[in-house]
Amino acid sequence: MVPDPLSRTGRGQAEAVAGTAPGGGDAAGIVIAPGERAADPWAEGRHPPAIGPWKLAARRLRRNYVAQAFLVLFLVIVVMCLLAPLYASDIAHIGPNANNITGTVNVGGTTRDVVSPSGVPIGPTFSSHYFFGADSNGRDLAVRLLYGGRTSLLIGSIATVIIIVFGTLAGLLTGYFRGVADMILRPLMELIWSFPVVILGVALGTALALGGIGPVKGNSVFIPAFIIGVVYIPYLGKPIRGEVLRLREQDFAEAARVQGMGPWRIMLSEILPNLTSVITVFVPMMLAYSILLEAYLSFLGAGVQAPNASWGTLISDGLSYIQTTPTFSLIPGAMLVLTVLSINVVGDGIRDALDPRAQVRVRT
Amino acid sequence: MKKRCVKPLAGSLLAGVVAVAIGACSSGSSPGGPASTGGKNGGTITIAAGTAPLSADQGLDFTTQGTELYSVVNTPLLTFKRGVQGVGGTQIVPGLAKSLPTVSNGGKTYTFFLRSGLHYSNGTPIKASDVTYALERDIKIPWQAASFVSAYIQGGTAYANGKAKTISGISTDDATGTITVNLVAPFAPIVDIFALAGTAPVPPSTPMKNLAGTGTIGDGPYKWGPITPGQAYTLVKNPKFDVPGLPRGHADKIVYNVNSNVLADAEQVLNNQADLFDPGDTLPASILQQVQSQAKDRYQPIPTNSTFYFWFGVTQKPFNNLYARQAVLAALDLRALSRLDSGFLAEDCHLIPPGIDGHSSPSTCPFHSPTGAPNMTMAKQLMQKSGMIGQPVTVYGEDRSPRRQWLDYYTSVLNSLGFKATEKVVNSSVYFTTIGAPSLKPQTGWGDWVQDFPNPWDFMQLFAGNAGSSLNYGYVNDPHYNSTLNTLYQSQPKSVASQWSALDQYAVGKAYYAAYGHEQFPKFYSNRLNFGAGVMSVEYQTDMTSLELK
Repeated sequence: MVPDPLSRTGRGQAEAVAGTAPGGGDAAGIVIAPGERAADPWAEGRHPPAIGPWKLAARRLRRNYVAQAFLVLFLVIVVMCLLAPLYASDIAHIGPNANNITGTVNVGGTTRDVVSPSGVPIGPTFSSHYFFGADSNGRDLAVRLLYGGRTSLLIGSIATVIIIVFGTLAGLLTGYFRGVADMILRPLMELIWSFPVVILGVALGTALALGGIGPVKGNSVFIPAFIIGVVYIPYLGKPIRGEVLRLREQDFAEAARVQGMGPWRIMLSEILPNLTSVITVFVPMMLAYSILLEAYLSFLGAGVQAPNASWGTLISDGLSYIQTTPTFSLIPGAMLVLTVLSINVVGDGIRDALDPRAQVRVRT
Repeated sequence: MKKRCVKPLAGSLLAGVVAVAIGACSSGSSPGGPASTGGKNGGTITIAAGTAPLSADQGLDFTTQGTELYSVVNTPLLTFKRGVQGVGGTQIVPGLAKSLPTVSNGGKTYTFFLRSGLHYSNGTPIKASDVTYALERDIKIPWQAASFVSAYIQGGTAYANGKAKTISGISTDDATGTITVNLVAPFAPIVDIFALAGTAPVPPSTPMKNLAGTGTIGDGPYKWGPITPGQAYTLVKNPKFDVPGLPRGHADKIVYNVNSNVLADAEQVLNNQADLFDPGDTLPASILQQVQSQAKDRYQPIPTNSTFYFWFGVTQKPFNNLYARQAVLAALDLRALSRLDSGFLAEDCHLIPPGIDGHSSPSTCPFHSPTGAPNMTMAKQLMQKSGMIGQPVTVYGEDRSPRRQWLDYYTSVLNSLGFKATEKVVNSSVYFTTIGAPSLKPQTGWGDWVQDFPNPWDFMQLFAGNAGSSLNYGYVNDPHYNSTLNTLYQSQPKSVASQWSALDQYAVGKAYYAAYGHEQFPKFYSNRLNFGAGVMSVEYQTDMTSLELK
């Protein structure tokens, strides 16, 4: 591995600020060849500018070109999906749920049925109208693909927020207080954990799709977002709990207690900041999981409800035409794969950037 | 789900002299069953079905899928003629009864005589009193069509309400095999009802509960083999079948496998991995062309007496408003709905299908031609007059294709009219029980009806005030409609066909329903089956007794 001069420069400060490099070691992503001795700016009387762990992580992330490439890809997908209304109104001239079964479209000077009298929808035209073709209801698949992406990303984002907020809270409460909180919340998390995620999601999705939750109607995107959020809470809550159990015994927590700080203040001002890197690593992971689970549920009819589109529903709808027009399923499938892949690669990049030990390599 | 029943008396059941046709009826088929056309007896036939019956128990189920199966297990007193494709298959012939019933007392009393020496498939002798027990069981479980029994037979309502221990209108004599049925009022379709498998006698040891996992014992050409409810149903030959004149069937075993992926079902039949595509489902458009080209010698669309429609909850906003309902009829593009059904629908705004007396010409549809574009100008004007723009509407529909696609389309039409419509997609297996729940009172949704028997009453009773929420989902209760219906069902359909037609048109004008077409069902077999011998009955869909391997 190539030595990283940038990381080397920041090493001393990283140690000083975060105290993460035991034994004056090479924790800040430094690569040291055997026999090589790193220059010590302190010994040489030079005082490099102070740099925090977050800035350090950002620098490392900037050096990770693969992660950056996938971050750009993810942002492109997000921007495309955000611009869906513009595409629908100014290019395709049809809304995502507008049926056009008996309509026609001009393709290369030929007028063709959007849906044939025997019910076969038009395939990709690669023109402004029906770029990726139509579904059986004569809806523009390109428009629905973009709107479906908005739905999938929105649900994934909401679910991630639910997971992060409630998973962290559950982990903090059970890990710090233990006792009654642990007795109540931990079995609950274990219970949810013990169910296969998809089956639990399908069961909840099917049940809630009919009646909704209170004022939230059954066909609202908040229903699958809520379900996904709930089923994944233990996936964050349990590791957070373990981390809190460790942190609450650390000297800084003990010192805070000795100073008379209350448990809530210790949790919020001492423990929580030390969980930030863990949570940050979990955000992209949970986002990717949530988008995938949304696709599973929608594919199975327990997620996004008709006529709204998501990538999962589009894959499902396209299955009927998998032999004649495979693009109906493949394109939303590809969008899903690219999105989840990009989130995962970016997430790996963030994890590597935040975890100094993950970067230590000895050149031989 | 499609409800289905029995066939009508094709014609002359009225005057009370029905016994006439006995000779002709009983000579219809040889005791050995339908003439074989080069096929062979024996073997196993596999059916690829997309939808399961609600139950294997004919005392509960009233679906087309169920009827296909238990109609060869439970033979009723009368039965529809098997082995005949098309209208001929609606002829009623004696089943367990010696002959068609004699009618007396001004059309209020029907007398049947049970054939002697009959036995159930388990060897138990069949008694006349078993018929009473079966009808009481229908009411208690209840059979989905229990109102056919309770509402028209004397004492039926009292028994249903628990005020009587038996149905007082039925008397039987086991010694002579006489079964006398007294009606509340003359009711011509009662003969059809006694040809429904749901009225077939069952042994008195049969529990008064739904036997979804085993089915019941009957006296049919087949008996139930292993059943996995919702997944697989097996029929095996009944070696003790002893009803003269009725076909015995050819295959030793018929396996009905349920897989909700209809495309996969069709592919299995196309590739000869399964033998028959269940006609209760629609061949997906994506495979239709392939079927038409690669399997044209084993595929044929067959017209059926069925109607697909949207219903309106007329007791609540917004569809308690006539103009709002009419606006929907004006805005619906029936051509679009047909395309969603792979082109299998014949567009029509009327409830009574073409094969039944009382059918009205599609050209009389009031808002626009069924085969033409919708009249959106009129629809928007009607919406303005209704004052219902912006009203929220929940639209109910099934999840299987093309029903969900119909739902999507219908919802988009409602939204284009200015309603705030949202969909409620319900699993097919519980759809009708969901929308029929008295507590729900849904606003609008999808429905269909496949002929129980060729009588216009079978269709028009869906909107009768006394039909109940399990049939009349929109709670239509129009005095003129009800009184006309009650008058017409006492007469033979042919003699009052124009009045039935007028009633249908009256209801269309009032927009109590938005009917959109009558469907053709696919007859699609594998290469293993003798296509020419297989019968698609308008009553039974697939006539299981006609299936034979090559």
